[in-house]
Amino acid sequence: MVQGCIREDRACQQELFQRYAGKMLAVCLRYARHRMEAEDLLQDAFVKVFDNMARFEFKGSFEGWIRRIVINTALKNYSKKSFQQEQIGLDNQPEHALSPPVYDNLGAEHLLNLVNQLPDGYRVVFNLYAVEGYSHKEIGDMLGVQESTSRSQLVKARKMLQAMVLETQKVAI
Amino acid sequence: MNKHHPLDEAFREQLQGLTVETPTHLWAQIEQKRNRRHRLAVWLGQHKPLALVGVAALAFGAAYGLWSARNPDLSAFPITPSAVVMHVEAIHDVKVAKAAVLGDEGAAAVLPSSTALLAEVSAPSSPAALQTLPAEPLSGQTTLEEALLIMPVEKAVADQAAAIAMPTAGHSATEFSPTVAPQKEAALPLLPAVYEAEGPGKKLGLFAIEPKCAEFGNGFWSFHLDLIASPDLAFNELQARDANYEDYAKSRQDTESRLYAFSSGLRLSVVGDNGLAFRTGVNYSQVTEKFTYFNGFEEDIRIETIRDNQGNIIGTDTIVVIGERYKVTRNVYEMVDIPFLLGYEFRGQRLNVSVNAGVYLNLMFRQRGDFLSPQDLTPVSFDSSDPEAFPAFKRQAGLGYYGSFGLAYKLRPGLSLLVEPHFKIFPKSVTQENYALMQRPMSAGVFLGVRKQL
Repeated sequence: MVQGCIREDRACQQELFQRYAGKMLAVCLRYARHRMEAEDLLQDAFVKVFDNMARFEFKGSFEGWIRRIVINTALKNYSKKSFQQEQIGLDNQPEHALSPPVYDNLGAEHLLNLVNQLPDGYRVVFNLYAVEGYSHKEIGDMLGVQESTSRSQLVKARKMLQAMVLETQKVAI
Repeated sequence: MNKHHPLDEAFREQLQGLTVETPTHLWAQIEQKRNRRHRLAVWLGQHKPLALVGVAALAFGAAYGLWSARNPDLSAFPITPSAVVMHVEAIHDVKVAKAAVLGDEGAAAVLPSSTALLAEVSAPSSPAALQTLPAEPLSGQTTLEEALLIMPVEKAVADQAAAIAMPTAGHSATEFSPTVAPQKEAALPLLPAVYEAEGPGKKLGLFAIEPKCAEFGNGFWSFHLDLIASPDLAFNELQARDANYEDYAKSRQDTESRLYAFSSGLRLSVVGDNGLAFRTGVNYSQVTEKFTYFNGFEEDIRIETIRDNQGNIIGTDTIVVIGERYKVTRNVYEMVDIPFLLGYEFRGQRLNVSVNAGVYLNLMFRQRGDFLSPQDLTPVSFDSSDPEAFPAFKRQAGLGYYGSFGLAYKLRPGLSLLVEPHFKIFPKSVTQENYALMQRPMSAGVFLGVRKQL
């Protein structure tokens, strides 16, 4: 299929899109503010995937390669400013200890919705660190910010998410 | 993976593998974005060397076209016979026609040549006839009558022709045409003789150079082909990407030493009359180094028997030889580049001096050999043709800067001996970004070769 895509075979390209689009749209939804932006990101990312297919060296996971392109495309949407002008005010807020089952009860879509409510900088760092598994050093390199900035954004993102989860629980009770 | 915080883990578990439904219109929009124009742009971007070669070829084609246009081709030259030549031709036709009409083969054989006729018409008695001649070329099918009508040939000659033609009553002038035309064509090769008869001091219109016409081989552009080769002195600048790898960089420098390097190429130059030159072609360069790795000590134990005079074994001798073991590899780096150079030539009578500068676009960068692994400082192969080898180098080295000072000594017209001291530097690292070191190759040498003017 990859070879077919390199040869610009439309059928192969469509098959590849259908195979990975669902997963990649979910990735885009985590980085975008809303669904329309996520769909735009997905389109741009797949255009890049097809344009650069010949550069795939068949080393490592193909899905991982596509995911990396999708994430890079999403990151390009956010300038360094996003991380410098982020809202403050969460520094003195205590961190609530919530047990894992609380999150399990919420469901994937609800968690996705919570992530989308985070400010840009928090959301990106949280996604990269917590979901994708990048280190703060890697995040710093990717975003062009200090490691410490990444750490503080993550802490604030966690606090905010915990607060939102607690709020959800209160409403449920 | 960051698995420490429960919140992180909870989000990862639920979101990492999440799949959502994709709207069908997205694929159509992607196809729309990746239209033919977009694909062409991407292809050109991915094949920059090929695209640049294409552009260079087009530029050369255009330059060559311009050059050809300025240097006339004799076969296509608008030849307008001079009045004198036309007059001689007409007289010759008349006489050939006469011989044909009379069936007098002997007369045809003794016909005066165009040279003799030229002398005849150039006599002082006929200047008026020469002045009245039109400068229109004769058609190949001109008949005798037409020839007589359009050519106000000297009266005596015309009358003589008519008098001879008349007795063959019943033959119209047009009937002569099939015979006359080939005879007239046969007279044309005599034109050089006409030119000779004019003498060196007098130029005929046929060979006169038009005011706007460039001379052959001396147009606004001249093309040269250089065949060059050079022994080179090659260096590698090794720089650690990270302070942690500075020792590794030093270890590599200690284990690798220069052996020899050379480069050779074929270069096409377009040189303008103003001295500006554009050069391109193809260049191959090779750098050979020696990698020496100390592989520990080796002990060689030999036991020799000791015999007495009768040959009986009386004991043994143990010889222990301790030596150092080295792994030695010949490392080869090969490059194929396309030069794009601009130069300026100062022209002397026999010696042309030029200064050149530009870029070398690397098409291929290939390596084979061993170096120390950044992980454990043991030998590892970096052979570019082996997929299992350590992937340290890029496939293409990018752009290199080139500068040279050329001397071209004219051996004979169109052929010069070329001596060109030069240097070449690749400013960007030729190693991959995830490799511990940045490596920038540079070389200097003296090209020796020949330059042929095309």
